[in-house]
Amino acid sequence: MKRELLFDDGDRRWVYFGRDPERPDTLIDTNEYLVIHGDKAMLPDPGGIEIFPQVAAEVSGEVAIENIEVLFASHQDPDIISSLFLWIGVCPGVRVLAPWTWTLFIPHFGSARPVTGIPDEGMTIELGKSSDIRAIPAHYVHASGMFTLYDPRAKILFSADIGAALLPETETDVFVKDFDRHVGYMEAFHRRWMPSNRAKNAWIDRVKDLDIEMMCPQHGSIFKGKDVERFLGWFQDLEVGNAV
Amino acid sequence: MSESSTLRSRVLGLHLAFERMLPFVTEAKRISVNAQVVAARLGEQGKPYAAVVVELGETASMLEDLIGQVASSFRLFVRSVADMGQQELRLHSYQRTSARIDRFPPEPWRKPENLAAAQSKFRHAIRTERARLLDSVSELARRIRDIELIVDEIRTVASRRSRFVAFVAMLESTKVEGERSEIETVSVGIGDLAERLSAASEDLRKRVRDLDEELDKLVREGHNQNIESQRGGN
Repeated sequence: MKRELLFDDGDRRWVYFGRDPERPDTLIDTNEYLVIHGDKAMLPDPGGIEIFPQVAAEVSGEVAIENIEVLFASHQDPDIISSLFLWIGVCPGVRVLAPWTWTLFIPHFGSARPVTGIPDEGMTIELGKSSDIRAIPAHYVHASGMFTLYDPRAKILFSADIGAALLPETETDVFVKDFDRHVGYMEAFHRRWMPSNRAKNAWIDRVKDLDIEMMCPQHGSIFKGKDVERFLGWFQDLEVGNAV
Repeated sequence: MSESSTLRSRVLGLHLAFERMLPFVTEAKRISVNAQVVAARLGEQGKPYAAVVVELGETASMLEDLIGQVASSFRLFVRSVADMGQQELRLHSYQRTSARIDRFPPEPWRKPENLAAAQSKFRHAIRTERARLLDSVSELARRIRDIELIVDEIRTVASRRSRFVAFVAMLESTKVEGERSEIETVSVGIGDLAERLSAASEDLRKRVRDLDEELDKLVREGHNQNIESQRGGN
C-alpha cells in the first residue's frame, strides 16, 4: 500500500494509505486515513472486510493498535465499515461513532457492540486530549445519515464519498494533479450516487467558509490547495440524482 | 472451501430433506380427521375402529411435536454454523494480517515496538479464534446428535405402519358398502403416508449421520491443529 503523511505538527498526525496493488478487481478502491493525536488514534471509515489485513498491518506500524480509540463511520456502506467486527476483535475497548440513523444497521456487520449515534446536527469528536475535530452533517450526500469530518488544526476535510473518483489503474497519484481531467473520473459517480441537489448545496454552504487545505475523499485522489475550492464550485454547478 | 461453507452446503441439503417432511404433519392430521369422520358414520360398526382412530390422532400429534423439535434444533444448528462462518473469517483475516506484518520491510515510520506488540495481539487473537472455532464445531456435533435422536423417534412413528395396515385390513372387511370408498381413502392415505414418511425420515437420518461424521472429523482436525499451533507459538 502507498503511504503518505498528510499532516504532522508533533501532536496531531494524518496518515493516508491506499492504492493497494494486491486489491482484487472486484473491490472498489478505497483510501484509508489514520488520525493520531498524541498516542491515541481514530480511523475514519476503517474499510471493508477484505482490506482489513492491509489496513490493520499498516496501522500497526504507525500506532500501538490498542491505542485506537475511535472508529468513525461516515455512513453505513460495507466498504466503509464491514470490517467492524474484525477491529473489535483486536481493539475491544474502541468507541464506534456513526450517524444515529445507522446505529441499528451497522451491527448487522457482525458486531453486537453498541454504536454511538451522532445526532443530525453533528458533534465534536474527542480524540486523546483533543476535542476539536468536528462531524459536519452531509445528510443525503449520499446516504440519508451522513457526516464528513473537519479538523481545524490540520485544515483537513475528510469528505467521505463526496469528491470520490473512480480512477483507472494507470492513475496512481495520491493527489489530484490535473483537476479538469479528474472531473472525468468524478462526474458519473456524483451524478448517479448523489441523490439531492438541495442536500449537496446545503453541505457546500456548511463547508465553503472553512479553512481547508486538503479535502480527503474515500475514493480517488486527494484535493489540495486551490483544487478544494475548484471542487466545491464544480460540485455546486453539477446536477445530481440523474437516475430519476 | 472453508469448513463453514462446506457445512453450509450440507446443511442446505439437510434443510431441504427436512422441509420434505413438513407436509406429513398436515397429512397425518387430515387422515386422522377423516378416520374420525368414518368412525362416526359407521356408528356401532365403527366401535372396534375407535382405539385405532385415537391412536392415529395421537400419532399425528406426536409427529407434529417431533418435527417441531427438529425444526427448533435445526434453527439453533444453522445459527451455530453462521457463527462459525464469522469465526473463520476472523481467523483468516488475523492470519493474513499477521503474515503481512511479517513481510514488512523496515521503514522509518514503522515503529518496531508497535509492530511487535501488534503481532503479539494478532497471534493471541488467532489462538482465541481457533479455540472458539473448535468449541463451535463441538457444539454443532452435539446438536446434530440431538437431531439424530429425534429423527430416530420419527422413524419409529413411521414404523407403526404395520399396525395401521392391520387396522385397514379390518376396515376393509366391514360390510358397510356406503363407507367403502371413504375407508379406502383413509387406508390408502395411511399406507402411503407411512411409506413416504419412512423414506423421508431415512433420507434425513442419512444426511444427519453424514454431517455427524463430518463434524467429528472437524473436531479431531481442530484438536490436532491446536496442538500444532501451541507448539509453533501461533
